Amino acid sequence: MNAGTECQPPPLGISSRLSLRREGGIAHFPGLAQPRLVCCDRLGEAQRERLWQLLAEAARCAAAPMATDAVDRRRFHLAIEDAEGRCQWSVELDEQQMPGALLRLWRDHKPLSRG
Amino acid sequence: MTDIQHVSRPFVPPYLLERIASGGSQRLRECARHTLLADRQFRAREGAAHLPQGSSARGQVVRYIYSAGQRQELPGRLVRREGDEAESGDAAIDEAYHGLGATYRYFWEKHQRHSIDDRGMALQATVHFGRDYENAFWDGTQMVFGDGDGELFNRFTIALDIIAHELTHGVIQHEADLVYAHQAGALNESLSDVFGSLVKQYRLGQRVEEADWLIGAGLFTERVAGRALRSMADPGSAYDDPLLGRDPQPGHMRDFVETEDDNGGVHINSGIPNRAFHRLAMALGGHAWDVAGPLWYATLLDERLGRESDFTAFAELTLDNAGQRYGQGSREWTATRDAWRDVGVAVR
Ligand SMILES: [Zn+2]
Repeated sequence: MNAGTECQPPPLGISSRLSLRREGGIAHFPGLAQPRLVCCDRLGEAQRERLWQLLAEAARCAAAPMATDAVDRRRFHLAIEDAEGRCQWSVELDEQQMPGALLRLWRDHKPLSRG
Repeated sequence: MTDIQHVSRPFVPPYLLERIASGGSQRLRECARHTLLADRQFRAREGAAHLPQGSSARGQVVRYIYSAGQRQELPGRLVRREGDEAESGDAAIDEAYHGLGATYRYFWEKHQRHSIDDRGMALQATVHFGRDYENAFWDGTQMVFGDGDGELFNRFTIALDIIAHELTHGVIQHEADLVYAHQAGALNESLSDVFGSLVKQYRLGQRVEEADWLIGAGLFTERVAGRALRSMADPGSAYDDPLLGRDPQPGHMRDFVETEDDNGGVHINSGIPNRAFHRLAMALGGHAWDVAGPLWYATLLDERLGRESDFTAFAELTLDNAGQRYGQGSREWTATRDAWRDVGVAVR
């Protein structure tokens, strides 16, 4: 497990936003490939801290070897953006490497179902 | 149609607070679990050396179906193997078993190919992969099928062309080994769709005008506004749904999509060569596996097809192979040239 400090996420401020994007799979669905955003101003301090821990975990897990011959697999792209939408940090990982809680976060932020 | 309602949605996910008290040890446990999982998969991919016994008799398939039991583990538990003729009663297991059989039979009877590597490699598939897992993939050694989430997607073994699509990725890996990005990746995807559709047509005994030319018909639940994942006859028309979005496939080079998403659009721009194949098959009539299929197969095996080939390189080779088989200026040669011109790929 490589816990290089250089891949650690920056501290999450009140104006930070987390973007979670999933791509790949057997087909490209534009609707499902849209980035899903988590705005930190809606989180309490403890939640921001927990989120930061999950991102740090994702960064460590992303260091594991990837499948080279695999096709139709899915990948996640995580990015922290500042108030102006500038990317401050990002990491890409195979869906197998994605921490369960972040996976649930991506799931729960899908566009609302039709009425 | 970017629906980002969720940005303004009240957001209090309880699991962000879950276990926060237990702190580091829990995080370490979680990460260790994921790392272990990844390691195991990496070992599973070390090569076909770890596959079970294959088939030494040409024309004889050897299949192994495993169940991951809703976990994300490969290969899982062996649930049906070659010669187990009794149906298991589990739809995913039985569909995978018969789907692999139908795909083997197509490649053997139409192209004299003995399994994925033409040397009798065991056909291994895992079903019930993950919970609500809405995908299927080729991991470099075996096929993997999820059960779908039941909301948008049914189980992925439900469509024979999807099973054949994944198996064909294995064939491609052992032949041209097209790089999985940009145009070469889109060719990789298109070849998997072409043979996926051919396997289905052959199984159903369909003539070109009887085939639906869809990829993955039956995968969507009735809640999705769509027919399938892709349409080879009319790329871009397969679905238009509030959640999935609109089928992004072009059917002509003028609409080629430049993107870094999806490995450079491998599942997007594959619509262009898909449609070229459909045009050729329709122009020739009869069964797509009689002329068009063998031409594409010969091109996949052609040593001149490099790993980073683009559409034009592939098209030129299909035309050259048509010339060698039927003669330049023949009906087959002309139809091949016109099919590529119809989708805007410049050939001689
Ligand atoms: Zn594919």
